[in-house]
Amino acid sequence: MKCIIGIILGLLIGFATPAFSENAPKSEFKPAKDFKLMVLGTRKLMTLEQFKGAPLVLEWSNPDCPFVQKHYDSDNMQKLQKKYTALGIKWGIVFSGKTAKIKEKLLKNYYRRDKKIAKDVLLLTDESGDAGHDYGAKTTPHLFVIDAKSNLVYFGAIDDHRSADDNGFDKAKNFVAPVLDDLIAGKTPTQEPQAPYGCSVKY
Amino acid sequence: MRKTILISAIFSCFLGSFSFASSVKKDPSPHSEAKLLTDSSHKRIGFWLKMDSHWHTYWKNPGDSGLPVRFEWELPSGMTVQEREWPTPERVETAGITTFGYEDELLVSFDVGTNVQTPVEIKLIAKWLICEKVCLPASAELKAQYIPTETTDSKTAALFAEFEKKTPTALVGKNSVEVSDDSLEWNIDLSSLKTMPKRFEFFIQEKGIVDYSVPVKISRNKNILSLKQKKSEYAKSTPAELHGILKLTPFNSFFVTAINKTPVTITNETSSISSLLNSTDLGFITALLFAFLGGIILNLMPCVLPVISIKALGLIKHSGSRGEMTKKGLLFLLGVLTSFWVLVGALFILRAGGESIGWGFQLQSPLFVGLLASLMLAMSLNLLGVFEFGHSFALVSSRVQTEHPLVESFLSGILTTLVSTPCSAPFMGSALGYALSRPPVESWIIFTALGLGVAAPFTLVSLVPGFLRFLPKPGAWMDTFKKLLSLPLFATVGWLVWVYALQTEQSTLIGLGVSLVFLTIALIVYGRMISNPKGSTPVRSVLILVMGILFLSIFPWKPRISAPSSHDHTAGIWQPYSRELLETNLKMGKSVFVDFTAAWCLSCQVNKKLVLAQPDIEKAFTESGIVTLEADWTNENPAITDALQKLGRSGVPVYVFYKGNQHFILPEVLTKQIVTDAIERNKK
Repeated sequence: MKCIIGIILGLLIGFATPAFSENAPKSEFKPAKDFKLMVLGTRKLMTLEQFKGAPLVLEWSNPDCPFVQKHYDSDNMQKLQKKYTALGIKWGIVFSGKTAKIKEKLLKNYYRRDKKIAKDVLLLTDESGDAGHDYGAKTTPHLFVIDAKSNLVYFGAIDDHRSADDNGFDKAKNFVAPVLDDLIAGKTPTQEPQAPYGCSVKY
Repeated sequence: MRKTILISAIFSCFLGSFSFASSVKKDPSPHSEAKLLTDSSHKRIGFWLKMDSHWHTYWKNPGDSGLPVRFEWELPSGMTVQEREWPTPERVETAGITTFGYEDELLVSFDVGTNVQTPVEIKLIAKWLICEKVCLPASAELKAQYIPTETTDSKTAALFAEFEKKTPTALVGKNSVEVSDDSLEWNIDLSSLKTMPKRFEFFIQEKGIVDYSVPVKISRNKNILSLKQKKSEYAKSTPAELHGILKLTPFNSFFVTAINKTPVTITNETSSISSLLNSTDLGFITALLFAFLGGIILNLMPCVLPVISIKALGLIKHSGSRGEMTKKGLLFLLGVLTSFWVLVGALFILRAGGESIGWGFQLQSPLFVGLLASLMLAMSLNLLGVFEFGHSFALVSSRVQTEHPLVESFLSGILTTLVSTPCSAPFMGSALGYALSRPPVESWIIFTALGLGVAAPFTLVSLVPGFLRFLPKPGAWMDTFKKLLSLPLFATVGWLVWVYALQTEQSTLIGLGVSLVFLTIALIVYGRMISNPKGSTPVRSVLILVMGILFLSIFPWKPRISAPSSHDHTAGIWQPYSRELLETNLKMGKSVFVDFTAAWCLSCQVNKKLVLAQPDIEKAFTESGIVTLEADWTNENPAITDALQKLGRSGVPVYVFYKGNQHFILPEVLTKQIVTDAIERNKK
């Protein structure tokens, strides 16, 4: 009779063991796709290769979009850019499609003169929209974080405040900052991709 | 800027009707005009949006970009509105970006609660995005007078009617969706449609799950339409139910509700309130441990204790050969395990068939409750000494058992399981919820652990006779003890009848009452016959037979289930739960507390009596502005089962605060302190 109990217990333990292997943390990141982006107002071409060695943030943007304006009017985006470029992270604001065809002066005036973005932040154009399509950039803003080894470690929304108005905006949970903190600390970022929100990218 | 003012000044001169100031001031609702319309004839109100040509706004699921229209209501106290399904949107695709929205005109309707009798002033703050090449945020504060007795003017009525036609109708049939690592596969039952659609579009209502840029793969097998959509790289866990619109034409579309066949993954929102026992994120081993411990504790429940005690007493009285005791113990164990396996098996088979059921489901059947009440009554009469089955404390009236004590052991194992399931939730809510959300093999193991726990005390005593020494010697006390044990059983009968009363119509309840009386008479006469064999046996046999037949014929074998409204016992601050009501209130920015309960759940009733229904707690809820809903699971209710599943639970009680996208689950055993702390934390 004790055999029966033994068998039942044995079965339980036997079944229980493989259950431990579940929920393994996913840590493999995909390599970021290569891109060709033009520095605004120049003929200077930037590729992924040139950014290797330092983490890079690509921020799809459009000065006409109220979601973008929310982040710049409140100084939220500039603060983020300033803090992390000072820590050695590269940052590029990307304009795809029709937005890239806006007059150079208007774009520069908005970002550099009116919104006073940090000097190190690059303004990059993607007139063909190829880079945007390759990266799957859907909205403005839409952010992509690439680590020093050119792996795509985060893509998606900037925060969880999915709204164009700034009501309660100060309580928003930023998704990009913890990823960058992790990279600076030499840790593997754990933030899962979050669906982006905003205006459509005007391809 | 100066130029703009000049131009608008010129325009305003020409047009005359525009004031100069408004053209300089930022228009809160550019390129669109919103109104709050009332349709008292049909007890509804509507948010109407007229947009400039080529400008659009978004559906509930805006697609790759944009935002849905949002509503914040300011209603007089006591008034509720329920959002209806939105009109069928259009799909707009530009350069690989897909959005779902409305051009030109939109009307979103809301049903007004029937309790509105007098004219009331309602206020709505609506926020939306208005987009063409650029997007602009827009908002409006809208007010309207809702007069219940008013007849709607023909123009407004026509507008509501037009948008009703543009709103999808529910597709009747069982639909399912399976979510794998990279795709969603819908199986939509089209058998209710007159003709099979040749061209159609399909929009998923839940946001962020599907990658819209990849074309949908379509196949059809007879009436089942299969749609395969690519899963978005941003998708995380999917809810227990997914929805979509199958659009044939703008005026002919169907709303599809599909059960998610993928094992439920729980988004883990840890909260400081929930203790370890309640944490939904139980590991497998922890779940096993809790199931086993919970099983042991179940032995102490009022409905289980007598059954176990009878067995233990039987052992003391008839401590026969060691071999026989071991056999008895193991058969009892086998009886418990078998019935647990049968229950779990039945649960999975019914689930696979698309039924929405959860743990304790057998108590949702009045027939089962009625039979259990009869059985319990017979058992308590037996304990009281009204009748005895020869020398044995038999359970079901059958002579076979006295001759086969081993069969009896097996049967008492089964009975133990049946009566213990309704008591199992308070100790094992999360373990059982976890178990039922796992693949069948894992569930089966967890339930086996639960069964082992339930059977452990008795089986151990019978396997290790040394334990018997700790039990008192047999004697006269046993008779008294037995009679005392009949009391919790009588109480259980009373409780089961109360549950039955809530589940069934009055005529059925009377049937049960009368049949129980006949059962009692039959058993009393039987008891007399056994204890006093000198009386006229034939007469008494006939009497027993007649009473037995009367019991069997009057017993309501086909109970008439009462309509939910006829036993609407929600009162005071509590409103009956519905998903719409929950979502509407959450959209309005309110916190919501839901009491998932059932009449047959004892701990639910205790919590209600001692905590939730107390005046000071009700007052605390009212003052905090938290909406309180009661989800009554006494009868089968798929909507509530689904809500429980989303919380990772399979049984009641569950007490949960919803706030925005988050929820916090309270322990199954409530105290006033726990509830007031949670109210404090969750109010705005």
